[in-house]
Amino acid sequence: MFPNPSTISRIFLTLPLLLVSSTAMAHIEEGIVGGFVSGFLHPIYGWDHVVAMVAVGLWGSFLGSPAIWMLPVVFPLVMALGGALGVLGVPLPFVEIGIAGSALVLGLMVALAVRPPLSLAAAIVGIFAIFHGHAHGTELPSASNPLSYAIGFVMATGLLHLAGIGFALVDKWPGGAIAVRAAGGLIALLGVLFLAGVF
Amino acid sequence: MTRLGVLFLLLVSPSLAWAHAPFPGIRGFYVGFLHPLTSLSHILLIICTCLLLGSMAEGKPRQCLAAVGAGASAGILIAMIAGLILSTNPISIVFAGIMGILVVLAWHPDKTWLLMLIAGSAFALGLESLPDPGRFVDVLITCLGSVAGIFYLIMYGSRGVYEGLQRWQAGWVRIGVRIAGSWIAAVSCLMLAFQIAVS
Repeated sequence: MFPNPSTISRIFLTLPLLLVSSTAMAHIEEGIVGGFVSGFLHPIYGWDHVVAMVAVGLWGSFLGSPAIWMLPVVFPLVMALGGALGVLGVPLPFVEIGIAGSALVLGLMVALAVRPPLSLAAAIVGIFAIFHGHAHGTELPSASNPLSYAIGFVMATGLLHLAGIGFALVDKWPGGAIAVRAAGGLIALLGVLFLAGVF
Repeated sequence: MTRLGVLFLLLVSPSLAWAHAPFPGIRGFYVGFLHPLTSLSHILLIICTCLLLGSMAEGKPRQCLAAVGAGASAGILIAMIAGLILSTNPISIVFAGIMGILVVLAWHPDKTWLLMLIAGSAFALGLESLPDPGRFVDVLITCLGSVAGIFYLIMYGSRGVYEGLQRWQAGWVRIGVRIAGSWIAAVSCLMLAFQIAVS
């Protein structure tokens, strides 16, 4: 009925081996794939990028239609302009401060339930998008495939917005509005920590 | 028994039966036909063209498809005459960016501008579709395949977008189209900057 003790000890010996195994990649990440993966991961591996882009989705969803889709459309378009500056080597001052500040400001917008006119909200998002784009664009020329790198980071940006929009759907639940505003507060707090250089 | 054995041997050793002898150059035709799918910049431009055409209510499909055929043919003809073997040219990136912006704005240009845009996009695709040097007949057949590939991809793609939008009338589907347009416009902007930076 039960396995004998030697079998059990073999299983327990095998388990740690399974846990310490590393990923086996069937394909090397070069060329188009490598460019896409590095571009896709660039915003995702940067906490400052992640929280700011999620905040864009949160704020857009909080403001309702048409901001819910307008802000995630404005962000990548203006981000591309900032990226173009980075690609062309045009220096932009205070990039890191701008990125950290975007988390602080956008988080506060959500936390304080600020409802400016759509054009002003788009302008605020657009200004910060330039800093994010510049950071991405600076790395683009060194990518193994710049085109797929660009596609990767634009898609990742859009999906992070979508994550924010998705989280904001809890707004419809009891206490959901508080949760959304609390998330905004958390993002703003992280922005302060980024500005303070803690991360 | 011997007859059965011989019959069995014949049955188990079939080879491919060719109803027709392969037409000379037909492989080149298929290589050309699939060529638009082998380049990310081509795919982006084709997607954008399909999104723009497909999102127009009953647009002008015949004239637009004629413009696609004429533009692609003109582009590849000029590439043949000039001997241009391009991988990515700024013209296709510019057209993808313009198309992307039009999709974002859901702005449908009037007939003349639309035909010029569509023909220009197809021209850019054709310009990048010249195969490596070889026998004139082989090059010609491959080029014909490329024109056919561009034509059919845009025809079926735009029709697919149109049918999809008719079937799913929910607002988020049109928003998804706009967001896709913004992503392509953003990528085009970055790639244009990259092309300028490396030139």
